[in-house]
Amino acid sequence: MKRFRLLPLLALGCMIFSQAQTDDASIVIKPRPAKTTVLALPEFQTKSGNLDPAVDEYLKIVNETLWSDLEYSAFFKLLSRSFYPAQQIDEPEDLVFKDWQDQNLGVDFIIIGNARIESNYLVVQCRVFDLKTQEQVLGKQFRTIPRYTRAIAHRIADHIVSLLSANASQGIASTQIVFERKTRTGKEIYLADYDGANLQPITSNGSINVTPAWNPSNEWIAFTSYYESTPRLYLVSLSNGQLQAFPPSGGLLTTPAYSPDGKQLAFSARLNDASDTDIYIADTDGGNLRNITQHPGIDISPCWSPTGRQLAFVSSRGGVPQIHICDTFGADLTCITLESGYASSPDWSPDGRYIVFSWKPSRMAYFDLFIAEVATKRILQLTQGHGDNENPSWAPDGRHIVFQSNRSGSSEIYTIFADGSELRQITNLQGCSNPDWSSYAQKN
Amino acid sequence: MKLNNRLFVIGAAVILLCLVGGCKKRTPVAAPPSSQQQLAAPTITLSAQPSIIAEGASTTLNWTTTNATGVTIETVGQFPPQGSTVVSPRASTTYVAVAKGAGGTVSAQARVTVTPAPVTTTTTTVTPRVDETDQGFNVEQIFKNEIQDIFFDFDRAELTAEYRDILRQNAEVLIRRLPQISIMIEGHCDERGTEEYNIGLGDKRANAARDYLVSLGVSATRIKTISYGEERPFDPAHNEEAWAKNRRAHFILIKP
Repeated sequence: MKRFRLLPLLALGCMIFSQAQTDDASIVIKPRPAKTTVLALPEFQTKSGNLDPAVDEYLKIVNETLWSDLEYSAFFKLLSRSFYPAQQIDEPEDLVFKDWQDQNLGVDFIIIGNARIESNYLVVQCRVFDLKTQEQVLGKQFRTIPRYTRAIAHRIADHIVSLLSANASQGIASTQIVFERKTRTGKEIYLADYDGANLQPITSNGSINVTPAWNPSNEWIAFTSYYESTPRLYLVSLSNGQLQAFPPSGGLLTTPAYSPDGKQLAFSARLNDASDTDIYIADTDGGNLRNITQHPGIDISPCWSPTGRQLAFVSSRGGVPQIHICDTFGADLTCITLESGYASSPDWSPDGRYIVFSWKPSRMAYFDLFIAEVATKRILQLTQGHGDNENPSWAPDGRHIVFQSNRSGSSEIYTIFADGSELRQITNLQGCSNPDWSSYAQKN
Repeated sequence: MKLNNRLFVIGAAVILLCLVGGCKKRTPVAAPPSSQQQLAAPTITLSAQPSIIAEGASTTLNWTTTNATGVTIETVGQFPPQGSTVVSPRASTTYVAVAKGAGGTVSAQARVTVTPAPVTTTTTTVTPRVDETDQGFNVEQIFKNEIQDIFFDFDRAELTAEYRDILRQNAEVLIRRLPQISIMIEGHCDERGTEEYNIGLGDKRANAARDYLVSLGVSATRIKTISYGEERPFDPAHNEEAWAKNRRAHFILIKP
């Protein structure tokens, strides 16, 4: 009976699999705009009257970072600077519209800016003009200590993305990524900007600290630690470093995931003498603990749908690990993967339509990233032919994905556009894994 | 009332007849026995039914006598001239019954053979209890020498026959030779699965080993489990030889 059931499933698997390889257009993830907006981004200049030569160093950082951010957003085409008119643009008065309105350049918007140092603060001004109407559509001044120079560039990029993407994205340039870093004694949790800059440790206890997860307001990170020997969950505040042990303990607790409202955690636990792990939900203070799955087999790595009404998780109940979906009471259980190979590490897209996961189909040697369309169970392959690619996590724009890959020889963190393009390696630290992408940054 | 009267009349007639008879017997007296020599000696026969019994079972002693006034059975008791009694000898016994009468005493014997109880399937053979303690070894050495790790197939937590045997040996050592210690069972995985799932898999491996030891009589309170997933490989190499070593349940001594 079971053998006969498998045949059509395998056939279906092969069909979808090959379709995924040859016909990428069958699923289009948040498509790039049909006509890409073209931006001109002349280098920001030192504001006249600035007396501190250190500003040149900061300007270089702003210019590089802003270019990179806008290019990586995948909303725009940036016109190469080799086509730009020679005149430097310092102030709006320097902008000669007719120089930029050449049809051959095809520029839609121009971004200009300047920087100065004032009482040890870096001050950056930025304006965006619509070349059709010659109107200013954005004008901002940013002021901060020089240490946060990159943050200014990220902030400018996010404003521009938010404005020019018709609110398809708030901009991810100010987001951060949390991940595990291998150490001599175990693993520690680390934090970096979305482009890998500003690396900083969150834990440094010499134990094994794994499975970091952001809360939706980016104020807390939940993670698993072996610090007290038995693995349990901790919540650490990023604002004041406060560390809270999540009260349920005993046995094993791991793979926490904050609910979209930030009030609950879903996680995997084996409490005391049970023989394997199940999915649980509890309030962030440990109250209202409830068991969602009771099935024999390993149930682990839950993630929430953006509505907070469903969970996706990994279960071995069918024999091999596969991605299952259920509601928050454990009902309406379905398997969204093909019951073949080894599927793991689901993450639900912010628009609720897709689940990205890592899968090693039976006939393949490595894990690759795949995206399943939840409603249709159609599957699209994202990575191919570059070692193991695991533990994907969506960016809040639903257009980018962070993951780990050992393609370079050691496990490192990469980001990718959700159509498989725009690959970026953001760490080079000999052993980084299990990244989680933050929510959109809070604007202060 | 009428019935009562009739019964009374019949009763009176019977009594009268008896009295008349009694008087008649007394009048022609036969010569009484004149001397003791002429008194007949008693006789007795004694038998056991059955004469062969199983250990713990009973048998009935029957006797008949003539010219006897009583019977004494040694180790059993005193009885009337005719009768029977039930005995349950623990071992084979020869019963001696002595009949006593005016003409003297006479004895008879009956042998009751007791066979050992048959060995049935419900009785267990008891091995002699010999307390054995190790001398010259400490607990750590015994643990290190005797307790073995077990290994698993890729992505599996089932115990194979080979490693169930190892666990039986481990259980034997834990019960007989190291009854005072507690243990930690660590579950480990190779690096090929995904990291989070391997935490669950290592947990299931450790618990499978624990549950089997408990089924063999090791107290559950003596066993803790922990999963390290793929975080603590025994061999850091990236090949099948290393992976096979890393898919294990590893036993750690917790000192008493």
